[in-house]
Amino acid sequence: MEGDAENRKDQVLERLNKRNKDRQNYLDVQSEQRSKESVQNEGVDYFSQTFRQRTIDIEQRLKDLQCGDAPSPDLARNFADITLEIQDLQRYLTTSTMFLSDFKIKSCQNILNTLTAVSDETRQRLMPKKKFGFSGKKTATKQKSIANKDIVDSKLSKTAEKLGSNFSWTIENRNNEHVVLDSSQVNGQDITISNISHCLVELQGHPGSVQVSKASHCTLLCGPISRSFFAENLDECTLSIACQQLRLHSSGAIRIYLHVTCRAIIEDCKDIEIGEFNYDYPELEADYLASGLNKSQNNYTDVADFNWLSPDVHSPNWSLIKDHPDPNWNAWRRDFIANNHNIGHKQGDNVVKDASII
Amino acid sequence: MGFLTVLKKMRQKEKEMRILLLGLDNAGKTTILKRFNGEPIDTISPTLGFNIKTLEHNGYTLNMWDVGGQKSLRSYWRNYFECTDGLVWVVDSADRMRLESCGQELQVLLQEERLAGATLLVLCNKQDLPGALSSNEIKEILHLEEITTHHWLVAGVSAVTGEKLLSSMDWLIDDIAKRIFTLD
Repeated sequence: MEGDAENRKDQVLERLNKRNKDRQNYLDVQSEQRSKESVQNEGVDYFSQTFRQRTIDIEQRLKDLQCGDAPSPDLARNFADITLEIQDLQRYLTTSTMFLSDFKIKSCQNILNTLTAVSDETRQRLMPKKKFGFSGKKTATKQKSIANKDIVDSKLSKTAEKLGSNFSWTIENRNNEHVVLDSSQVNGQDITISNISHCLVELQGHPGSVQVSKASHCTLLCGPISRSFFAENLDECTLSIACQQLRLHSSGAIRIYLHVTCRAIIEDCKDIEIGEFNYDYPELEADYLASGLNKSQNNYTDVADFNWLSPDVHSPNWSLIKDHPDPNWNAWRRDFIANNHNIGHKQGDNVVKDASII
Repeated sequence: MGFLTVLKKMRQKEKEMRILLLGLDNAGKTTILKRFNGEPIDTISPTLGFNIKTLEHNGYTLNMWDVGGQKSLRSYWRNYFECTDGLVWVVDSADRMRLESCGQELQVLLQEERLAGATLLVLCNKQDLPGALSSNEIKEILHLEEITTHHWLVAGVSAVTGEKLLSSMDWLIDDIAKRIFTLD
């Protein structure tokens, strides 16, 4: 009886001991592995080695690209890969900063910066089209500005004059007038309009941007705007606008015939009706090209209302024009002049159209 | 091991900076953020709400907060003030019409207690436009010389060409680092 109990006790003890030993072995192995890993991966030497190796790899790839003449789709992919690798290396450096000395961090960062610069420079040289990473838009603007150098020069002197005094508006304080600005006054410029009522304003060209503040019972017709159209405090107006971005603030009862390549937004507005852009004049096509706007992309149906953030319910502040024929601007202009014949219509002083952009 | 992990995390946290990008609508805040992060900038539309980007730069982790600048969003700016290390005030250098309100909004921000410790970087964006005012002119219009409560720098940049963008951001990061990581 007793021997049996003794025997069982031994067995249990043995089992316990064995388990304890297994556990300890397992822990030892693990801790050894862990310390090895951390020493290997977090040692300064290991870091310098890896960092140098990866730098050399990237440099080699860049050199290969410079010498070889790979077709351009391959080039694009290669550059994308290289950029990724550089970013990866940057991440590696950042995560390793805690065990590196300040000097080491700085010198590694310098290497990275040089790599990025070389990669950018090579990319620019081998793929000149993608120079700065934006589409044909800006190059078009640049060509235009070279072609119109004289105009730009004269405008520059004008801006210089402007700087001395306070800000002055392009068009301000007009009543019952037909104001037409032609391409020489409009192209590439920032047009500002303030305090007009019962006017018909036509901008026949491609402005850089247009800003309107305070207008009532007016019609504004405008060629393609390279950047943004910004308006505030409009009342009962009709607009025909082509632009990259439209922002309308604190306005009511506005009808907009719109071409917008990015997006239109409204804020504190009521009764806004939106239709498709249909203003037309002889140089419209050329102005589209010069402005850099994409004629085939029109997001006029997608208006963001900053006072209406519910995605499910349509904003009550704006709607698309339905069951309403597109206006005929020539007839509109005739009617306007007929109604205002006693006041007369003012044409910009420079009527010679700029031929260089067509 | 557990203690080391905690220490490691703390060190990593110290290398983090929180940077707030503010300015009037259409100043180019999102474009600057995307350009800085190396993303394409040709399809940016007005920010409805905010964007957050975390990116690595010069060994620091930057949390960049880009909050929309439309009038109705400005009252929400205050929700982002807490724990801000750097404030980037973006100005549309070509928008003469609204420079005055731009200056007023900035003055309001500078009186904010929760931004008291933050470094201020004023970026005069859109320098590539022919009608853009220079950074010196904007410095005068915004009365930047009178700021004594914050470290500040004004720089003329272009988010489209990338001109001077990196160097001014480097200044901001250096200035913050000097202030909060003196123990390194």
